[in-house]
Amino acid sequence: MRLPKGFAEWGLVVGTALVAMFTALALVGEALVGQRAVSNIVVVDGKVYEVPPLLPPGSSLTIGGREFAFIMGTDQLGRDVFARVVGGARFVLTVAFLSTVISAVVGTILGLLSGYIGGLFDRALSLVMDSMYAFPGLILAIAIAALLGVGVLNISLAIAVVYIPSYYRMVRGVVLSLKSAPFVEAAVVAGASSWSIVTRHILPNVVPQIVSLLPVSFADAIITEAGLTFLGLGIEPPTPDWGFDLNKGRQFFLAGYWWIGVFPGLMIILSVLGFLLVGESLNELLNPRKVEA
Amino acid sequence: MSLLRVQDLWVRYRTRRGVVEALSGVSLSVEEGEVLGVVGESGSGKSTLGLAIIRLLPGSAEVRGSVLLNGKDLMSLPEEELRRIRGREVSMVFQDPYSSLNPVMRIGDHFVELMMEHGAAATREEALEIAGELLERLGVPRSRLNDYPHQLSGGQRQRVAIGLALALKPRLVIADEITTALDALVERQIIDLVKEIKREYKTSMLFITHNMGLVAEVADRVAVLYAGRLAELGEVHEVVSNPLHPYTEALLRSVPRIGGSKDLKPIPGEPPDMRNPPPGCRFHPRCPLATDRCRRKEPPLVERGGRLVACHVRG
Amino acid sequence: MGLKEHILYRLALTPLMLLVLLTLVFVLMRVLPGDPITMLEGKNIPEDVLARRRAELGLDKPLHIQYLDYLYSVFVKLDLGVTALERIPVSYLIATRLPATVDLAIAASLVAIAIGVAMGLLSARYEESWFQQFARVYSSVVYSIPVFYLGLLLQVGLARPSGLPTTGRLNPVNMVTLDSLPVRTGFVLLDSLLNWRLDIAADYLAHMLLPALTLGIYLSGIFTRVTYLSVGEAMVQDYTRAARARGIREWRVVTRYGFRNALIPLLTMAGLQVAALLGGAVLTETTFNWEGLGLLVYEGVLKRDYAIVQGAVTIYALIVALVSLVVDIAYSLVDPRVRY
Repeated sequence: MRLPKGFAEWGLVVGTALVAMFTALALVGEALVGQRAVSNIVVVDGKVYEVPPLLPPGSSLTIGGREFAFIMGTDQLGRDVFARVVGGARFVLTVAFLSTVISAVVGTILGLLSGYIGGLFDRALSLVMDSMYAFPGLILAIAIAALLGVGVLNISLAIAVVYIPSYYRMVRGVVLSLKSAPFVEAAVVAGASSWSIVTRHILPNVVPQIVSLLPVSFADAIITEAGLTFLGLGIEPPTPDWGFDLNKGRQFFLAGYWWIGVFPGLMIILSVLGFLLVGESLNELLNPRKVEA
Repeated sequence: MSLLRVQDLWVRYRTRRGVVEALSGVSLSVEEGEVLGVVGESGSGKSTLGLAIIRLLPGSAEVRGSVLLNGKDLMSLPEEELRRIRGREVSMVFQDPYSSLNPVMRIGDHFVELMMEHGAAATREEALEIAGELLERLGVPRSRLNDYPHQLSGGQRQRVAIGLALALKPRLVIADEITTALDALVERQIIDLVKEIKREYKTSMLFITHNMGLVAEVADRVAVLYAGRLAELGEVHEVVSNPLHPYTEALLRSVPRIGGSKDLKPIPGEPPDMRNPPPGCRFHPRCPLATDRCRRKEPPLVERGGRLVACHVRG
Repeated sequence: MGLKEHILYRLALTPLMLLVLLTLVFVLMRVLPGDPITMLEGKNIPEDVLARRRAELGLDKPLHIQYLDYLYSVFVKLDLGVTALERIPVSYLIATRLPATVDLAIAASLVAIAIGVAMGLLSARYEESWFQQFARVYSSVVYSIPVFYLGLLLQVGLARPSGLPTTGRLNPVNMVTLDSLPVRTGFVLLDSLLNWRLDIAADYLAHMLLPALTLGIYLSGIFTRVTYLSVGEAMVQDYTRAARARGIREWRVVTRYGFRNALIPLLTMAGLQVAALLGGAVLTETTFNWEGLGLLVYEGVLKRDYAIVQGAVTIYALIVALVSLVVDIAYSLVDPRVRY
């Protein structure tokens, strides 16, 4: 094992580390922090206490004989910001994961069909997809999320719709270029069924492209989710969520209580950066661009 | 005094995977009014030679040695003076006609830009007038001045490139594989054009190619490069009819000629990896005459019957 | 196909795209689950009131009639309905809000272009890899920062020390004055200049500075990446090297050979950039309380006002179709291979 060399390799290492960390947080985070993310009530030895709001980061309180540390302070309702930040990973990453999977699957299927069948179907679907692609994604997501309402599935669907055209275009492009490739023609002449051509010849060439798009797509989904929850869509309090908390924190920001919003924001940046680095580094390493003189 | 005198030129590139020595101490000269052919395989360093003379190597290249144009050392000139010499005293025609013209500029604009930059024309109209005449003489209709490069054929684009190289009547034109990207018929037309230019304008030329046959037609003298070093240099007819260096011999054998021997032999082996060239004579792994001395010691360039050759056996 | 034919061809294609977009909006609004009335007034609404409201909005008619009604009202009557509570015509509301977003969009674009051009010039000047690293780090980091977070940081980082305003378009006094000015175009900057109220203009610009910077930097994330890549690409092409071989001065090589050719791939991204601009504007306007179209969308969502959201989305569809047309025409002007 040698040390990573160059932007791409370092990017992959750092990105993978970040992704792993956030995945872990998403899976076990909320279980670990439990109630402290959603309420300021703390029970010690059977007695009920309320944690005061707006404690600055680094404060610690002795409640009922036990020491409680609030390394990121508490928010306006007395909830532990660190707990909220850790717990928020579950919602955010679940939504990002679901929406990415949905858009990838739907986009790929539509792209395969469109590219393979061709004709009027292809032209019509392309026109629809191109129009959707040109439309501002966030606004589309807002419209859908506003109508569907709150919930993980609803917000995931809203975001998924926005990214379907990206997968569609990519897959369709690959299919079109492969359709006239000699080995595909040979398969057709040899009498292979459409199904086997698609699965045996086209799909294997499409998969690497899809895989290279997934991480960036995931990153985009996180950003879109943050935007939606920032505007108050798709989520119901007291579920911890970074975008939502950022909005709440906004109002207290200028009064000086910066930690309510800053820490969730940092989580967004780090998680997006992680996926972005993985995606871009993978792309660079698998398809190097530089040409030596 | 020679028009161009290259002395002990060394060029090294820093790449991701090591240092490549493209030219290792090459010296040659071009006289007034003569065409010097430079022949070699890919990787021999011939293109690097052309770019080095005009100082257009990428930033990762390290150059040592001197290049004297009319006594002036181009290697030590400041950038601004060098810029004035380019296009005016020495110019270059590149290999790929499909990518050497600016796709968003009309043909006429290429000429106007060139002439106004160097003060060869005072107005746009004047420049276009001169350009039109030049193109007609090169076999391109004057109306093409209004077109964009993509509207012209490859052969026409190459003629335009030649026109741009000749427009300011330079002393030396460097032609870097100018027919390699063209098909046989168009290549023939361009070669004939080159011969005509040589007759009419008496411009000196550095004619770089991998095709020995073309060199025999166009050049007065020929320099044979192998793996960054000069193998042989002499009068073209003598070298072609009586090659001394084994590599030159091999090159000649691999060129098909009508009426010639049917015994075509490709050169065995491959060009060396320039990050790690073979010791001694760089051709020794592929040379049928290689001796132990060839493997150990680099052969010096010696004079043999009016020619220069670098070979332990033949020199 | 000459230039004229090409423009006509694109002009013919635009209504088609517009139709597709509007159909999409319609499908979105009517076919998705989620009843707009119950969204607004809650689930416990009595049956007869529900029926009356639905009739008001035309939701009781068959779907295809609704579709035709929708198209008719958008194109012919230019009517986008009325807001649920105050009964204000949505088109009026949008007309008053749109200029603010246009101003913000232009200002943000200028910021993004300035940063992008700077990156492009640096990329042309420095072939070496250190710059490439820097540019990539810059675009990756900026891409990862949510635009509202950036806005927040700028509010705290720049506004507090310098005293720049952080919300709204004008201070309250000027807002009132604005309404009483004799010459009105709807664009605050124009109005204040036409009426020779330079103080109002200055106030407006002061308020616009932070939102424009925020949105502009956000845009520059992707924009700089495309710029430095395409300029860098153009600078290593054969035609650039050939120009240098002819002794053309470096400045001209950078502009005429580098930037000019980079314009082509940049334009293909232009449509996406505008989409990102519009989306980012919603978040930026919300952060800075900038009274534009984006903030209107947020308010519509907050109040669960169906008509506002639908109206706004319709307008966005129109804008996208228009921008698409403009970009396409610009593309045919920039790339001669398209025209000839």
